[in-house]
Amino acid sequence: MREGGGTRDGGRWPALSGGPEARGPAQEAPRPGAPVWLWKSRPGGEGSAFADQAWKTQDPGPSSHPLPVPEQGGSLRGRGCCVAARPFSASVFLFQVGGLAGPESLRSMKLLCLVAVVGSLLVPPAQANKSSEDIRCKCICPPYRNISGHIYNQNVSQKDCNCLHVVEPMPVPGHDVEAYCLLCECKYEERSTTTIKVIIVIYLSVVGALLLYMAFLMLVDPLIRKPDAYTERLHNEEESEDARSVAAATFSGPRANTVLERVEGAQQRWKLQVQEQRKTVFDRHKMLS
Amino acid sequence: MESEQLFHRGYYRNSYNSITSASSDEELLDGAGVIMDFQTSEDDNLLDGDTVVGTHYTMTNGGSISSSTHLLDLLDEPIPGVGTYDDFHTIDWVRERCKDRERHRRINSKKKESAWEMTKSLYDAWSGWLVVTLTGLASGALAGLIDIAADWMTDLKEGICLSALWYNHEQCCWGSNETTFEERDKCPQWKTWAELIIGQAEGPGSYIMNYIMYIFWALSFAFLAVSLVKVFAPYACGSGIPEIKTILSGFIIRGYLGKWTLMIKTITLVLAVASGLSLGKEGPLVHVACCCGNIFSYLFPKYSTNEAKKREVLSAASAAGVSVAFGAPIGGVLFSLEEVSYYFPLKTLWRSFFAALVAAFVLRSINPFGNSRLVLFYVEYHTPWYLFELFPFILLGVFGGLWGAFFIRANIAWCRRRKSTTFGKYPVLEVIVVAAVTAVAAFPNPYTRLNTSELIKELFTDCGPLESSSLCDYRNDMNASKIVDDLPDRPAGLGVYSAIWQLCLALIFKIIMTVFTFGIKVPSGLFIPSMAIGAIAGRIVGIAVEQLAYYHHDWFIFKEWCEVGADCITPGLYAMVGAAACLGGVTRMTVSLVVIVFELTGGLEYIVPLMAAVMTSKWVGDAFGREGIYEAHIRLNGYPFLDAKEEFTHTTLAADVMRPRRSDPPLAVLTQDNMTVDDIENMINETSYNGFPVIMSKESQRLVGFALRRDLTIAIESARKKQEGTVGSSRVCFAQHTPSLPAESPRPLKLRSILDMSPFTVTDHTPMEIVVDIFRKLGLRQCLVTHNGRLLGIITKKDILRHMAQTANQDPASIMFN
Repeated sequence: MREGGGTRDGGRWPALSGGPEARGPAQEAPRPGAPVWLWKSRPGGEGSAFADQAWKTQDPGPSSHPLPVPEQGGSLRGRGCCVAARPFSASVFLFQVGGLAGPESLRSMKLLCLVAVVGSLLVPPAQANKSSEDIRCKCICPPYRNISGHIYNQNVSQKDCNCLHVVEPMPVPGHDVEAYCLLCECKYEERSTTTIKVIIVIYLSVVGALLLYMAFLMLVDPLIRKPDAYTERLHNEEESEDARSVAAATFSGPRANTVLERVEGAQQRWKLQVQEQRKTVFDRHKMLS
Repeated sequence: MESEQLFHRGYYRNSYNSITSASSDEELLDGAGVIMDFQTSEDDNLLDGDTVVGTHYTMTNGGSISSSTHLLDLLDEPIPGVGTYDDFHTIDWVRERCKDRERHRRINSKKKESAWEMTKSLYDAWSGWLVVTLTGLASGALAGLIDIAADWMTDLKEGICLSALWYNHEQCCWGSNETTFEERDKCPQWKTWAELIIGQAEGPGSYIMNYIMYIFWALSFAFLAVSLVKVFAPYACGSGIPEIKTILSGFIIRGYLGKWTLMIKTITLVLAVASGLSLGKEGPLVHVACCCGNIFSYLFPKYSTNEAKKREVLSAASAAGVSVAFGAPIGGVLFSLEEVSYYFPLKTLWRSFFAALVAAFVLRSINPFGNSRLVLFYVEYHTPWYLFELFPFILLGVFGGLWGAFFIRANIAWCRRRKSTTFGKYPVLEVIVVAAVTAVAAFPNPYTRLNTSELIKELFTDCGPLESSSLCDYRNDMNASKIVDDLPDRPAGLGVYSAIWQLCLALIFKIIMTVFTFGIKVPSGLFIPSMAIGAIAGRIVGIAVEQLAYYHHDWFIFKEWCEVGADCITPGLYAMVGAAACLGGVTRMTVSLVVIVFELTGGLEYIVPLMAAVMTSKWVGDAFGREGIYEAHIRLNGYPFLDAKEEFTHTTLAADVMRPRRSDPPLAVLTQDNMTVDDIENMINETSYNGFPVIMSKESQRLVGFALRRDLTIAIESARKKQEGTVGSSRVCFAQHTPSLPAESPRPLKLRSILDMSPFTVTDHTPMEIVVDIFRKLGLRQCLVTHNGRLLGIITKKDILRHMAQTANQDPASIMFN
């Protein structure tokens, strides 16, 4: 129904003609796919020792290392901080450049920044080795006979994550341990504190920067700018809106001598766009209502 | 090539002959003078057929600009801007696809020339996969950021982790040994605001303090979100799916998928979710992913210059968005296919699949919830279901359909009010009021105070021996030595009854608040609140059925399966079915929804109950109104969206729909060689049409092609700047050959390169059913109507939409964006 006669024709054509284009990457696809499949197929996961073992052999990173000793953990955390600093600065850079929106030359740079941010977001989970606060084995034991339910929580490696190792002191006498442990459910969990810290820091700094910029736009900007020059410039912009792609080159060509002026022009253009959007959404209610 | 030309020549001769010999009806209509005109024009065509080199034939469609046949023509080098579109305009899929094929052919033919060209063609072939990979990476990373930040900010309303400020409640108590079986989330590191401010953790004073702080944070998050949206990116509000559907169907909304929209949507989505409003992050995540797709497509000329190709990337991006929103990669691909995409060839299917995979992989490696899953409410059941349970499942489906129909009506009525009355002038105030009401009403009830995702998780989770919430407060017979993995059905305890009361109140609260929340000017998704409503209803029904089976296990329906001590009813499963039914009722999705829910649970055996409930809810919902919430919003806003699902059954003809109507002034047309630049500029200024048919002459009305207004404006402007001797009185020539002009006249301006020489035409007696089908399947923007081979009028996509609105007894003026 959706792709009947004509559309199908149009749709298939590039697929057929672009033979290498369509086939080449399709063969590549399973390679990045493999880890996902493994992780999806991990059955039931945490409870079953077999599944954990299988998972562990597939996991090239953290779990093949021995448990890090404390000082190593410390140094790792230090490295985490460097990682934390990098995306932070990158994101601020992104923000600044983004604020100046516009000229073609900046576009690729901004995209690069975005890639950098994305990349650095991906780095921490790969680097963050399990420091002691990043793993836990949590056993939940339900009420049993006259013993109330209890939660046990320890930093042990994945292979030791079972009731016998974690539940200490054992609340039942020796012959009951097996029955008690059958009831308990032990889960091995990992997290990355570095990722959390980095993400919260990035997020808060972007929000802070946006707030500052908003305050600047609303309070300081109208004061330092002469009202007549402002409207005149806006008017010019409006005229060039119609054939923007043609006019853009000429518009920014002779007048934009210094970087500052270009930035100024780009900012004005951006402001005008936002104003237009605001009119569409909030005043005319043409969209998104 | 030679034979082709011969064929063409023969064709022209034949047609020429037939016209001249069998022209009796022509005479009736036009008189002999016109026939003379035909003769000359046909001669013209014959000449064309002789001179045009084969390659030109392939380029005639779509204003291709790199024609190598007119070396002398200055304007045949590409004019910047020709072939692009204005804001709020519809794209021409046919033209875009032709442009892409032409580009592809050019690259392929050059491939053999040098190693560099070979590399370029390889890069071109790979760029599709590269751009979806980048999109997947970015949307996965952003989803991780949104998840973690939203969790942290949601918990910020309750208190703060003193040992490390960046932890949310659960992470704060992660390594703590002080948690107890009953109160799992209490640990000394986590301080509620009352503890910090007035120093006491219990008692009425601390309750009030916590209440005040909860409202304070909710209001400040909501205010921050709406002011950021208002100041920086107004397009970032709403769920975005109706707009993305419209964009994918071929509409231009500049800035809707831009950098600022992306940044503000990501930031404010976290704030909106954290403010406790009755909204979810799933729909906006699709928008975020589409923004990523759009931004990355600018890196590759193949996608940045072609609107149709860009939409393929956007289809893949929306799949990645759902993939990370629900942790359901396959569901995401199906969602893209079923709900958002308009044009979905197989190649896009594979790319969507790959993008969904990459995004899910990235999100998994970030592991935002610490449970090695992509979503908070991942559950796993292995209990079987029994045949008699289909009855309550279908009941839940009916409830979901009713809820969907009610929600769509109520929400559309409210949004229309916002659109048309002065109440819509105060978006900030509205958000603040809604947030305040939500916060005040939500805090006293523990089920509404929770983050909605956590509520869904709690409702989905079945009561095992390890659970200690009040929802699992069943009366146990104390000979618990024979505890097995799944507990038998038990009588409900006091906790369950009070929980049911609270859930009923929560249900009413959610239903009312969601109606008023969806559409306010912050990023707001619909999936999570709908699922929560369904999950609450489902859980209540589940507990009711469970108790019924326990107390009346001798009824014949229960007799076979529910003996004393057997575990036959799983209330969590009912919650899940209810969630799917309600979501289905609102969005009217079927296949993708079942797949999404089944990926959430990882239980293949529940597909049949889910299908039964979703199908029932769709039937019930369709009985009250055929469109889902997204189509309803598209119609409310008047976006030019030609739905492929709707059927057109009226018997009107193309002549009834086309412009100009009988009373209108005649169609604004250009003639191919006797108009001046001034004439054309006047026509552009006097009319507001977006394109003009080009005809041979006013007398013959024979069609030559179609020129777009934007292309004309740009071409004339650039000619005035770059081409010497172009003045207002220069002739504009669309024909192959310039007419012989007096010696002193200025040099003619050749604009053949911007002319679309293969516009679609239908005759005036074509039934509208066929015209609508052509528009849908080919994605046309306009179509010319001819009568006896003469140009009569034009039908645009918006004319068709207006006509469809008229036949459905709606206001045709509601289709906006002319």
